[in-house]
Amino acid sequence: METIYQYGPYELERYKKRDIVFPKYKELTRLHEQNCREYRQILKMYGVTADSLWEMENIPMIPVRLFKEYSLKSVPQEKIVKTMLSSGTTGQASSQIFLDKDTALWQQKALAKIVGDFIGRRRMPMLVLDTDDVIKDRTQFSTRGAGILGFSAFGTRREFVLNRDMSINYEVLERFLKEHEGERILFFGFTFIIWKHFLLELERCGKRYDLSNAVMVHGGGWKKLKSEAVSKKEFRERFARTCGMRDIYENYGMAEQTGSIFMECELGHLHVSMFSDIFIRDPKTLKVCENGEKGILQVMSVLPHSYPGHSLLTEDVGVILGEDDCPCGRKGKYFEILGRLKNAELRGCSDTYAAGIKE
Amino acid sequence: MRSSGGAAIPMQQELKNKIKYLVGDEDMAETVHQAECREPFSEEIVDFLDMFSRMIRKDREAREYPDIQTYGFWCRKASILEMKQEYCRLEDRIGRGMTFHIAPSNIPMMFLFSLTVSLLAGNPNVVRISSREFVQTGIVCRILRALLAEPGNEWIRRMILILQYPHDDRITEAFSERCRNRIIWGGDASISKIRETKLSPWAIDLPFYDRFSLSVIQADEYLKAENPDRIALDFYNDTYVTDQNACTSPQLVVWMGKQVNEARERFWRCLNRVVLERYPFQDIQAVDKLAAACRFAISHEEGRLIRENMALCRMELDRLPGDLSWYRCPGGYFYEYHAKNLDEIGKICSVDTQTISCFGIKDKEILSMVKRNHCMGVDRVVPVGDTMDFGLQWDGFDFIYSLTRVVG
Repeated sequence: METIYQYGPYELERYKKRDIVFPKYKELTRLHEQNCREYRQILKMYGVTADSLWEMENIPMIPVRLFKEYSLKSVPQEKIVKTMLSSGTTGQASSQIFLDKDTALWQQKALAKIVGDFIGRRRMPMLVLDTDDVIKDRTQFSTRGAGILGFSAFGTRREFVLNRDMSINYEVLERFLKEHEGERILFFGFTFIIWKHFLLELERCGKRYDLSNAVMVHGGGWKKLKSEAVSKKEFRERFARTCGMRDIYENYGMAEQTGSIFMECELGHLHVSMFSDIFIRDPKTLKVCENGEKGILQVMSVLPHSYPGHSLLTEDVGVILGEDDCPCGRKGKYFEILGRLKNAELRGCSDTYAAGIKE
Repeated sequence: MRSSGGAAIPMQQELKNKIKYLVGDEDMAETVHQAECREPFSEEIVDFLDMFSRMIRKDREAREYPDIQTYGFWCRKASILEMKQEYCRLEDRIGRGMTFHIAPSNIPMMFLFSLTVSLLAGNPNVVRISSREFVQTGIVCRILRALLAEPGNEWIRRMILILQYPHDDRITEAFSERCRNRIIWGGDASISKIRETKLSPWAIDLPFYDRFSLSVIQADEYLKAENPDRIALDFYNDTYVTDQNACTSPQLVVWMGKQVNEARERFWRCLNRVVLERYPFQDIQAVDKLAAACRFAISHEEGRLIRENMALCRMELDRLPGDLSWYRCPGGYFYEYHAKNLDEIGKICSVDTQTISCFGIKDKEILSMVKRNHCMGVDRVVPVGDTMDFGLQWDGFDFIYSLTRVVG
């Protein structure tokens, strides 16, 4: 792992990166094969062993939804220091991700390197656009809580700006802005919460604050607010118009691979770092697509040691835009998320009544 | 109160307002269960169905839908009289009373088959169809309304009420209290839910629950077949046409005989060609199938996934576990096993095993296997390609015998 951390997160080009990370993915596959019974049986069913792997795209992947149905871990229970729960969309079960000390630490370090590359390594006062309720339980973390705690490493001081009922605590906000006037400050939160409970609220109340010296990192998508989602362009424009905020970075990540998140550069490209990799898979064959072809996103991360989550097939649709040649200067693959796979509509004798409930 | 066949408490107007009547009207909601019962296969009902069949086969719009035409062909007089041949001692039988049908939401024509068997048994009917819109539903209801409106058909008009209503237990309960037979087409969850509503003491339930079906193919016979593509197409019709999601669709293919490797290589190759050509694959199915395979692998040691492409996945087994129905996945995901003898299959045929479709194996062999192994399941044995053929026996019930009573 140390070797990987020696490099900048977006420093190495394709083949150099591959030479360093491929053995790591192979090692992780072997580690989980040996220590996680469920994972071992899946590999057997696929007909592969860790030793038979010779290329990045052969690293077996498992559907990310398995984490919602099974408690998959590769370390004994007593080594688990944190359990993360994914938020999931309405009506879905949430994933459980088990972290040991090392995995948790590596996640933190990877996050620092990735985000540092965008907002600088200097810590700054941090305002969380959420309620502190989400971090109350220190052993069970939601994605929201984990994100906030992870990003807190970038803050010299941290304040939560939303009340429990998701209304804005103007007192905290105004005091914070006053005390740090002229300083660069960090705003952090979840896309749909920031939009609905902060920006729209400010606009509704006609409140004006000058946030032109702030940098904002947000992610997590729209979850339950799919119907209220706005485009990236509108999101940025409205923030610029309402409070002068222009330095905004969206990220894409998931509870199953916390730490090795994908950050969007100023050109709107999501970047793959040294700690991660992606492939786009053709749904019809699961074979790797060419750059520019859309398909199902497979995400890889060198971080998961305590659970078999280093190579996952998501249910998101994406497209690789290029590799090593983003005008922003960062090396590695860069891509775009196009949406989620649609649920199957099937014929056949299915539930008469269960279907009725949804009607 | 029972003397009239149940003069139930009138349904509240508020509930009646939620009902949309496709055939029949609101007044009938209170009277349909009092319509007279008839003897099974009564001449006037068979003639009525024959007329309906003709109209369906002539209707320009209806002719565009193969499933409507299949029904139209099935309810011809000749076809019904042929089915009648199999019954003996019908003369001491008469319809039990009103049948309340809760039709499946995903097979458009099922409600009509269900209605027809109950009419043949001599009963009046309330058919609740899903609110999901199917073009076929509109077409056949239009034809049926026209036929019922013809002079001389008043008697049968009183026997048919087809409706839709949004999920509401009170409406389901109102008809359940009025009926004498309740036919529930649906999964286990739906049946349990519907069974929470009251059913009158004199009524019976015919539940059509989640089922598991399989195919048995004799490899040596298959290799001798003149047209292997035809067999692949038959198998495609049994499975992919309903997204392998019908109770009759095989989830497991069992091979028998000597040249199994050659046979299955050819079989899957032929099927794959048809699938690639015809099946409207949905991208999420790739993830669904991979997840199903992983779920199976987590609790079983004996599978190996083989995928030509994600529209056709199969799990080769070297042992036949008894819980395969828990690990099914629609849309072209098959378990596959090479059996030394039929009794190996008998060991896994449980209460949910429905159809065994065969190629190169005699029905009688399967039947004696079922008896020899004292199987709780296996309700149908049909040739590959015929799994979707509807009949008067289904899921182990005989509709005519179940929906009539004996005057002994």
